[in-house]
Amino acid sequence: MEKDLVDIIMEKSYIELSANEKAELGEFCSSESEYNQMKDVFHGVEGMQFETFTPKKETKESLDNLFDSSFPKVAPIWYMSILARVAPKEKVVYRQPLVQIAAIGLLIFLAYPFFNSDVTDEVPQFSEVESPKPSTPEVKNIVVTEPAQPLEVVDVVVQSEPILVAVVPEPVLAAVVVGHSDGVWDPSTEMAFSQPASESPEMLDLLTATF
Amino acid sequence: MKLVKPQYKEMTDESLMIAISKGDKRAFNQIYERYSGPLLGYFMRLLWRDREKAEDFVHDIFAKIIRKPELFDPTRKFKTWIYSVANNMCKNEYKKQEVRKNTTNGLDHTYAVKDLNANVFSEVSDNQFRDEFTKSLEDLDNKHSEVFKLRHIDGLSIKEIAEVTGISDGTVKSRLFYATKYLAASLEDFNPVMNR
Repeated sequence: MEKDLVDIIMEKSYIELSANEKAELGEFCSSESEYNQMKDVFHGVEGMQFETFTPKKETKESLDNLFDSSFPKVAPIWYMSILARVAPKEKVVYRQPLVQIAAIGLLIFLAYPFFNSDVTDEVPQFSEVESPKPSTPEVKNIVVTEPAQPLEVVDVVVQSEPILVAVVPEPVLAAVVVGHSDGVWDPSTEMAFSQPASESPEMLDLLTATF
Repeated sequence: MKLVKPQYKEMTDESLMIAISKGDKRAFNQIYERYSGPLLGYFMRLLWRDREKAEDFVHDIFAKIIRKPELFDPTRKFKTWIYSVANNMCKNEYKKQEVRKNTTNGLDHTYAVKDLNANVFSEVSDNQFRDEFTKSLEDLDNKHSEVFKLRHIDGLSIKEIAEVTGISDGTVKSRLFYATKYLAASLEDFNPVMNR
């Protein structure tokens, strides 16, 4: 509380008053005895213990409920103060400290590889040509029919599906080796055709049965 | 950056009000703790010692702070503002009660102070001086005693009383010193007590 005339009266004796204070008090107390009388009253009142009041609990509870309903989802004040500092609503977005810090962080993140790349340490990379690994064909099913004339038995090698192979009479000599089931020619595998199928009708029968 | 939680007991009323407007309940509790008692006493004095009515008025004034904290201008002193609001609430109550007559600061001279205010201090008074003081204060007309009480019981300065009651500083001083002289004359026999 700011000091006023009452405080001056309580603190100072009459002779300690300045000319201004005396002039100000002049209209209320004209003499020293009157001044001292007032001083006594003020000190007497100051020393008294006045009645103190305490509101009911219900009043506070009702106000608490009102407060909770008026400010339902407000963040804690410390959080609010931090947020208000780093992202003040009154500033444009690019001037908000939070955005500025984020922008600097992004720049550092993007610039980091440029400053930390060491060309001399690079290991030269050569292209490597992969050569196909020789695979061991698997002998699957071999069907041999007894020819009228002596025939040579030819091994038929397949990878996955059983293939019915007919042994054709002389002068057919066929060695069918299939390295790729999809029919791609592979120079590493042996494949020989000795005569057209039209010359040996048995072969056609065989093909029909196969497919 | 403020990372430490504020010490509410050390905060000024004005800072607490700013915190309340942001939804800080602890700030509200602090303001309530500081002013609920004195305001209840103030309302009791001005509302015919009607405790229930005074409680209601305390509730209403704090509800106003919760609902419309922006009504308070932080450049003003909170204490002056809250007592002004309280004073206006009492004036409105007088209007409602149709007892407003012939008064300079909106308060009625004739409202039932004489009988109902008879116990303002007597509840705690246990000595003759206090009884005599109380009696003398009640013998004063309301406009003088109110200024005296605002100064010495509520602790408002002369300037603040002028703001609260809406009268000039000079009038406040005049009423205050009139009341003081009156009390000094009434309590002349108690000079040794007053000089304690």
